[in-house]
Amino acid sequence: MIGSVRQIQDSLAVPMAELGHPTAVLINEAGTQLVVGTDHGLLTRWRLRADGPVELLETVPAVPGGSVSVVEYLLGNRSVAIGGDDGSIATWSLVREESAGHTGGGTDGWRLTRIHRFAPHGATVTLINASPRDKGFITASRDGIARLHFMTSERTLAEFPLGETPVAADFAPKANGAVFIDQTGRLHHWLIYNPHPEISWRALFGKIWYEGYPQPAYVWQSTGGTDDFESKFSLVPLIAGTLKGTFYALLFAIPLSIFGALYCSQFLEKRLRNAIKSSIELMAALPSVVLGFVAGVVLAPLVQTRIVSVLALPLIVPLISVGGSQLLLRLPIPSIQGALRRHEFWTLVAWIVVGVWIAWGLGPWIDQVFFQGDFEHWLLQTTGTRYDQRNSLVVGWAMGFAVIPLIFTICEDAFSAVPRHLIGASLACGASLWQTAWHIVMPAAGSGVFSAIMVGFGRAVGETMIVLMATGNTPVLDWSIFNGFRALSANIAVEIPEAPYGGTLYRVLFVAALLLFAMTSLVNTTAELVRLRLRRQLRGL
Amino acid sequence: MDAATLLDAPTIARPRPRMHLHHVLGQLSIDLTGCALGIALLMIAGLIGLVMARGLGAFWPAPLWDVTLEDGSRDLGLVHSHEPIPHDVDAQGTPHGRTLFRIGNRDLYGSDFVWVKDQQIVKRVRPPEAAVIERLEWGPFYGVVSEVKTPTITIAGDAEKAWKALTRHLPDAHRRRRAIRRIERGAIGDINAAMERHRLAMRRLELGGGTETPQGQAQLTQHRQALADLEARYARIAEDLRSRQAEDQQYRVVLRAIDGRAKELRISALVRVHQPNQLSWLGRIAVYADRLREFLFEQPREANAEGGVAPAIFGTVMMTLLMSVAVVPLGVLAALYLHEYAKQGWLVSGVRIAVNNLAGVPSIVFGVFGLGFFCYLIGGTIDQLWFPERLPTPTFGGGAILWASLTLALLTVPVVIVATEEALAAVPNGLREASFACGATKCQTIWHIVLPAAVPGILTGAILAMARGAGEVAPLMITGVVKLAPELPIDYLAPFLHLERKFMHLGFHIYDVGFQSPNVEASKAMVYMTTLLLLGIVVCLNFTAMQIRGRLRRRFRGAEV
Repeated sequence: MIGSVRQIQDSLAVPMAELGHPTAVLINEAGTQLVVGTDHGLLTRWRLRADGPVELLETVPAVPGGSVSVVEYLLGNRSVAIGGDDGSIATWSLVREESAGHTGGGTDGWRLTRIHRFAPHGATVTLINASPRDKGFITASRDGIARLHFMTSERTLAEFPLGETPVAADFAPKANGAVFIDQTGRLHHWLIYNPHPEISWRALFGKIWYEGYPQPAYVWQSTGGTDDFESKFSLVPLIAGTLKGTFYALLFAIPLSIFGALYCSQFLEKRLRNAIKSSIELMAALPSVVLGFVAGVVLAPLVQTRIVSVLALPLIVPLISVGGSQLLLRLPIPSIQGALRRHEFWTLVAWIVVGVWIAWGLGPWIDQVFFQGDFEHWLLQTTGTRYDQRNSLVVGWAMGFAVIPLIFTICEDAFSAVPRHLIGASLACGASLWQTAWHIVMPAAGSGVFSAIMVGFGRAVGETMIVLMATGNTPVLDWSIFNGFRALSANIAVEIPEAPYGGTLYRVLFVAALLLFAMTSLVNTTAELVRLRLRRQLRGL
Repeated sequence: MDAATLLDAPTIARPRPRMHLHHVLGQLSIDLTGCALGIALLMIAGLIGLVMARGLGAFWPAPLWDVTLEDGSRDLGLVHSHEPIPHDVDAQGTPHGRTLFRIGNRDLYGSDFVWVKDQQIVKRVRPPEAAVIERLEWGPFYGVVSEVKTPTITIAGDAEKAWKALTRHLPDAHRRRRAIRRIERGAIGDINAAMERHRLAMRRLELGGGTETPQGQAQLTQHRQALADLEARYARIAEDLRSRQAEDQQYRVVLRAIDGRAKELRISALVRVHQPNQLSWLGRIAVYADRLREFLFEQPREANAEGGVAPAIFGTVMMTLLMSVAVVPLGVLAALYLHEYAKQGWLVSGVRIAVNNLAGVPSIVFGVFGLGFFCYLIGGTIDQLWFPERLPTPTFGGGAILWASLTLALLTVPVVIVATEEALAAVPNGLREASFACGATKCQTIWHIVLPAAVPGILTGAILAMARGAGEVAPLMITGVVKLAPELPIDYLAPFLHLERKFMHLGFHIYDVGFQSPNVEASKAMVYMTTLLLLGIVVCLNFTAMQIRGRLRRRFRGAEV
């Protein structure tokens, strides 16, 4: 601790050879790598060893036709900003080599890649200074102009006309100011008000090349383990997640609710109608947290063990139930037939139970025959998708459950509001019940059905607890039914408690909420207008 | 199709009409639509049935199995679930099964559960002396009672006698525990609250610059004196508490697990003991009832995985009531204006569309609005104006039951508006006109004639709003619900109603215990029960609303004729 300072001089012979003369040099934090810019415009990366020679890892052309004038690490030491004597500015990052076949890659599996390019200065770049708080940096050029850039959003945020060539520059510790000294010895002090530099339209909705990524991508990752983490605020995966969940929910809910409503309003005996409408109303009242819990804790593991059965359900159940009840009706026993006709609906329900039971039992058998008894393995082998336990299938069911009563109620109202004389006329012309329902009632109530779907869409888009509990909440961009997603709403619920008041994340989450609001109001207004039109139409009839 | 049908029309007159293809298809299609309705209904029934079955069965005392495995090791536990092992079949193609045993004794084994393959089981018996011992900490203990120690005697060796002694001493131990808790939470809690008040008063004096004046100085000394008095009182009570705890420590029990390891505990650390393999039906019902009582009326234990949900029930009810206090006047006034006063024009249509839109706005968006507007903006301002001495700890400037209720009030206001408007529309115009004809003003007519007639409808709206509010979780999560609130929003300390406190909520409890709990499997029973409770509340509220609405509709159908 109190020993004398020893200075060890160790000169390294860096064999530059035909690479040109070094003009700028940078060493990484661990002291294992050296980045050298040359007057041939090349950027070279070397491995430094405690023992042994310096080894050239890779050479990349950074400033074509010019020379590299400044090289500087940005916060986090993962990216370098490079200025050229032609005024060009770019940031480069080490990207892991995807495949060995890539050209120009380093021999250590990493490759220096240009990830952002900024508006060039008019003259040689003389200095670059990185912000101590974020991924911003200041560049200055010989013609006396300094600029503030932000790497992630690839934006030039501000320009400081200094007049003279600056010789030194530095950021204030909070990155809210900068000082420059020009060659005449004058000190320039600028205050910078720049609370949310990482946000731009492109950062929220576009593809961004983040440091360390092999290509530009849509990524949501708001916080990382360290302070120098590059926040990734792309809303695209979240929007896609929301739409994905909504799609599967509607896929499940639309047929069930519209056909159910049609049956309830047109074919069901009046005695049952009110009871059934009440129970559907009850369905609407079920708290979504209950649905989410049942989906996430009960259904997800169950579906995983019998995935093939579940996939077979939509095929087998209608077949068995319709076929079964028709078959029973054809039985030439009058007493049974009478009873069956009186309780047509309950017969159908009983057959559905039988169908579910059959599908459930048949599942493992189908699994054995077609997927060698391991569907998940088969899925991974043939399509490359991994099966998540909490996936869109489960969410689709749970959210469909929440949406069905909404669509059902509106549709049922619309179907019931179709004037009786239209139906009577159709039947009198000899059309069957089904023909009347399908060709007369359906089109007459068409806009009601449309508005019901819109309302259902709005509900599914905004549903929070179900998607929070029944998906894995991983913000990935894919459309597979066997994977989870993260929806805008769940994202807000997960992240806003930890977002500091007024911070960037807080505001981005407000943008997400605004987006949800806009989507639902648009859809709901449309639905309301369509419904009003329907009412006028029906009045006309 | 029409042409074809028309052409075929005369054939209908035939005695037995030939079935046309499109008639058969039509019949199939009708059945298909019926199938859709049936599936929807079955789903509701299935969901409610599932929650009821799992919830109601959760507290029933199950037998304890003593399982001996091939390698000679033994486990004692409850059968939790049984399943076929994936990709593991025997020669005949039937899959091997495995059983998940809940073996408890988390402090000894490290985990609550163990999987046992059915093939490995050599012997399974139900030992009569095996006991389920529910404890305050570490979850249940499954084993035998081997020793009971009191200051006077020690009963050891005979498991039967030890068990009897334990059951005899347990009520006394519970009494001691309650007395200790009363002192800790009551007397000491009061002293802490009083001290905090004095400290805040001193801080306020400092902030206001009152410490320079002689009066301020005098006040400061007063506060200091009061604090010193409180300290002295605290010391006396703490002495009493220590002696009680020391006495309590002398009553101990030694439990022995199936592998022979022993665990010594205070008797007062046990919640409930029973020997499930010996219990009669009545005994089982008693255990069930006691568990149910604990669930409904006690505080949660063990990171909410055990104990009761009383604070969550209280929080849910209070939040819902606060919400209705806010939403009913707002909604009713809005509906009155829209229906009775406003000229029906594009503006009112616009407002109607807006109200409809409001009903469709996702609840999380309301939550975000509540957080930004109520918590941070209004709450933050209130803090700066009236509670500067507590900053930077927020008083109203964070999540609070008041803000959560107001957020939900905004969320549910369309429900009340729509229901009230419907009720107002159902009031026959004849009533209004009769009232006008008698010389009543519009205001009088509304107050004395229209509103009383519309009360059931308004009530329906209020109940529906409450049902919606009670089941909503997402906006609450960010405006004031917490997983464990040490203090209820109402207590005996002035000002009695603490609207700035965070609270617990049944819905959030489900999410938290079911998904965030460290021991999800062990707490499933609690989650199912909580789910059942919430479902029950919401369904009851809805059912009541439906009944009232049905009666209302019948009544006015009569009035209009």
